[in-house]
Amino acid sequence: MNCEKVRKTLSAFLDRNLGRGAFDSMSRHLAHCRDCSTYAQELTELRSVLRGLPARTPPSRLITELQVLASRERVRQLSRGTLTALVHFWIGEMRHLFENLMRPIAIPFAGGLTSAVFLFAMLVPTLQLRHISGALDVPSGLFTQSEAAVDISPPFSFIPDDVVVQLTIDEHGSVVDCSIPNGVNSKLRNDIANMILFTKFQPATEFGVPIGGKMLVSFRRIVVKG
Amino acid sequence: MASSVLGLNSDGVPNGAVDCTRPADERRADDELVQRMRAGDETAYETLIARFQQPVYNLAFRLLNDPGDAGDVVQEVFLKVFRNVGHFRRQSSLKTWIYRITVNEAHNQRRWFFRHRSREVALEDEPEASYKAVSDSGRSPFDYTCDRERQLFIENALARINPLFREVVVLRDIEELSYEEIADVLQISLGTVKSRIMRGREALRTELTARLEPEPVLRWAPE
Repeated sequence: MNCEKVRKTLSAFLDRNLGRGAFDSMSRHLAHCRDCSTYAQELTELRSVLRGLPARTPPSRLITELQVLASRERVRQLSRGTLTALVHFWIGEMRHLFENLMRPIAIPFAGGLTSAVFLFAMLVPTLQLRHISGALDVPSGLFTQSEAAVDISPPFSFIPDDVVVQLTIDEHGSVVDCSIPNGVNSKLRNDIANMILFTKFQPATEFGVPIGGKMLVSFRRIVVKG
Repeated sequence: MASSVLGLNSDGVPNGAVDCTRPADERRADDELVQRMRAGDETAYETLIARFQQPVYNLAFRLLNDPGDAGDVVQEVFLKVFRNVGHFRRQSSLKTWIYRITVNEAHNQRRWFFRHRSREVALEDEPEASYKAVSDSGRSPFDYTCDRERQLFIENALARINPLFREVVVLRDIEELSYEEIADVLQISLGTVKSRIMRGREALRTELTARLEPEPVLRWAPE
């Protein structure tokens, strides 16, 4: 292999783009030929110098322009695509439009709603709302007291003095016990017992369920002149 | 001896030689990127820009040696890529395809320059705008100045050689493409690639050598 041929194929040799036989032949020649070896060294250094050149960085303005260009071309491509792509495109556009419209009012809306809830919570305890209820309504969340009702007039005269007795009433409205003051004579005691017999009681309720309880019943004498 | 002189490693491979086998992952990533772009995926466009803006700009700058022209070429390249990605047949890699468009656009830009702009004077002078700020790594301003001078010297020499040779030298020695990829980018035969690389390197070496030789000294000689 002579020097002229070596110089013609030296680039391919340095790039390892030669067959094995030609590569070995070139290596042998370069090991003995000083001029070709020097030339090869110069080309090697030239390659390393070129590879050592710093990469040029595009200006930031160009990157922004490319992004704008990409956005336009994407819209253009989508607007000319299939029906499905077109539908997706318009859905996306509408979503963006909705978000752009809603975003400015989202914070005022949330602030107004929070303020309204706060003020309402502050005002509710002070409001005197009218209680609307029917005669057949059963209180469901409260305690009620026992009530007494006299169905018929007792067939006897009654009680010359004022007296207060304590009755114990079960959940069926029946009197299971009564407490009469000690100073009451036996006749009055009998009158009180008779009166209790002629009286019906409604039991107290707890959350609408009848329960047993105690009640005080006051007997009073009323004097009518004439 | 030859190995050490030529910078070959123990396997007889030149130091810094590029492994030209394309990984299958890269091919799959290219296919996926193209599919997403065809579907109108916004992030695919961003990915393409992020991946190729620097190499395309670098290649355009090396071919034209002008930052303004390189910026114009980059925009044209990406415009063509965006509009023709639906016609990309995958007969070559995405990188090779984009590089081919870049080289063709640089050709067009060069032709346009010679027809129209050669008499124009630029109002903006921004050769330094493309350089990033460099943090202090302990090197002196003198070192930076030397590097800058050396770099300008090589770039000017590269700009003076035949554009056909410049293309192959840039693609091979700066962009580190394989011979097959260069043939694919330039749409020429492998033999032509080898020939142009050899002649391009020789032309660049000659240019550098000529510039480094001392100027003839003018002497006053009395009659």
